[in-house]
Amino acid sequence: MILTSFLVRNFRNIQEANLALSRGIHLFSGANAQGKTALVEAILFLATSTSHRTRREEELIRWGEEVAFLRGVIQHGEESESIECGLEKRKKIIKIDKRTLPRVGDLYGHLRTVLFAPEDLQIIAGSPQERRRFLDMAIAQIDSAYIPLLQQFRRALNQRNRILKRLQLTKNAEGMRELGIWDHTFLDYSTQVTRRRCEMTQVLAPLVRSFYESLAEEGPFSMKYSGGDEADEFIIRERLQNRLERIRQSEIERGASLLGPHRDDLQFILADKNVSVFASQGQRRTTALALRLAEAKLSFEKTGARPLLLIDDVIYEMDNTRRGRFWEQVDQSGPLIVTATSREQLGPGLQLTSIFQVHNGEIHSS
Amino acid sequence: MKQQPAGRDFRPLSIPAVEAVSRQLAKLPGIGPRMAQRLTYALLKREKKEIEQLIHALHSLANDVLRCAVCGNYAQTDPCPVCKGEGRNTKILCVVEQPQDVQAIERTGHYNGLYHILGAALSPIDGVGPEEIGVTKLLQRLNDPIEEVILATNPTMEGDATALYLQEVIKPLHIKVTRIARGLPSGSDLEYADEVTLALAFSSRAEM
Repeated sequence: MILTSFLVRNFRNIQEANLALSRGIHLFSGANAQGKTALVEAILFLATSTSHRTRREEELIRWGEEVAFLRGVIQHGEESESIECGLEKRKKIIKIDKRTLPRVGDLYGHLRTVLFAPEDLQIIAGSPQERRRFLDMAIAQIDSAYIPLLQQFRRALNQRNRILKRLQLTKNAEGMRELGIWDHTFLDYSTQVTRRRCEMTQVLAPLVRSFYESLAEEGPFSMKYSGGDEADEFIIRERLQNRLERIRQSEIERGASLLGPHRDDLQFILADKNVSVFASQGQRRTTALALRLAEAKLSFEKTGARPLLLIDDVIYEMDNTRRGRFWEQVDQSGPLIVTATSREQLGPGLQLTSIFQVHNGEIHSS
Repeated sequence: MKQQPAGRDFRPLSIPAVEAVSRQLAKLPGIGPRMAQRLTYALLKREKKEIEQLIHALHSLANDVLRCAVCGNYAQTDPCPVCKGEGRNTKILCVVEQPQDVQAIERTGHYNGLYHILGAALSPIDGVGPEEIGVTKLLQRLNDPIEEVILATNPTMEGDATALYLQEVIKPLHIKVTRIARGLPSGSDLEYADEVTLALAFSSRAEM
């Protein structure tokens, strides 16, 4: 899967750029705040129709302009297709081969990317919600029924919470019976979500472990999903049911569901210590890199095509040894886009296919 | 480009009677202001007699249709013909969410028992609990010699929860409780089935 050409118009500070790309490593070089990250963000937007930096999409339209426009041509083996994305203040139109997509969700899979960005540190150091989102996104990439399932789960959770809120005010036998019904529904959906997250953790864990230990030369590193270790729906359901029964009283007192997929966490453990809590900044950064490397490898294994790697602003944080080990782990036979302030920042020994200079929103091949 | 003649007012003429009918029609589900106006003008084109027939039909709808005190269905008699048991198997009771569901089941011609209409499904976030779906009324009906209760609530999260709830409250009465099956629609293609339905059809497959 190669992005062979990419046109950007009025996106962030980029007025217009038309790039010819190919397999291999492409460096976008320039001082800070010139548009390197904007370019990476534009590619990610073409792939997922979301930005990793903002939820207010109108911010992406260049100041003073009405419409931002992106077009990419993607080569899959012998075949190629085009993705176009037009973004207005309150409207987004995505076309594949000039045909408008009925649902934005249908865009997934046409251009697979894996982004390495400074914001990834939030997956490790941020709230459990960030880690759950990472898992959910990883599952959604390979299971199209997962997002609808997650929505159903949230609805079941809301229904159950409403009953618990009512019981918090007045406790009666009728309400307890209703709670029993919504327990059942909540358990059904919780079990299905937990099983999938559990499976994804099991698939990712050995990959992340091997990448972490190679990058840091320390270990042992492991990953654990707090919702359960075994991806067996019967076991998951029984365990959650038993735990719910034990905390019933406190759930009623608090008027909310205190256990389930909305509270679970993905834990990273380095030598028996939780990385999110105890590790150094360097160890957390390495964990984030290992996660993204694992995501890329999994995407290749599941689809048979190498995803486009976008490596933005993570190189400068590394010393020479770490940087060397990082490049050893990155699959350099696939397409790769990397940003840096200079060629030297990438370190020696890297075979670059092309170098682009980014200056004041303008991008030129050099 | 054609120029609009200057000094002319292009606002449409206001016809209060037309607007009044349009406003009323626009209150109906699925009808927006434009469709309402179109329907109103379509009515205007009809003969006066036809409009009067419509008025008469609506008048009858408002005055002659009532809820059957036994099953909760719409009818012009109370109890409704089904609840009077005329030619029906009074030992089977089918529980549905809405009166329209009765029409759907009747069209199959495969069911000859009684009905009970809940009017809604349990949904705490919409403020619908057992009281709102009239559980007491349903339980009262089970004092009659009923042998089987068929739960035909919708196959949604709320419909399933309602079925589960009813099954629990009916269980102590030692009456057989069944739930309608779910799976693939007949005459359809497997490839067009959504993932959830297909997964369910697989998990509830039957030996041949």
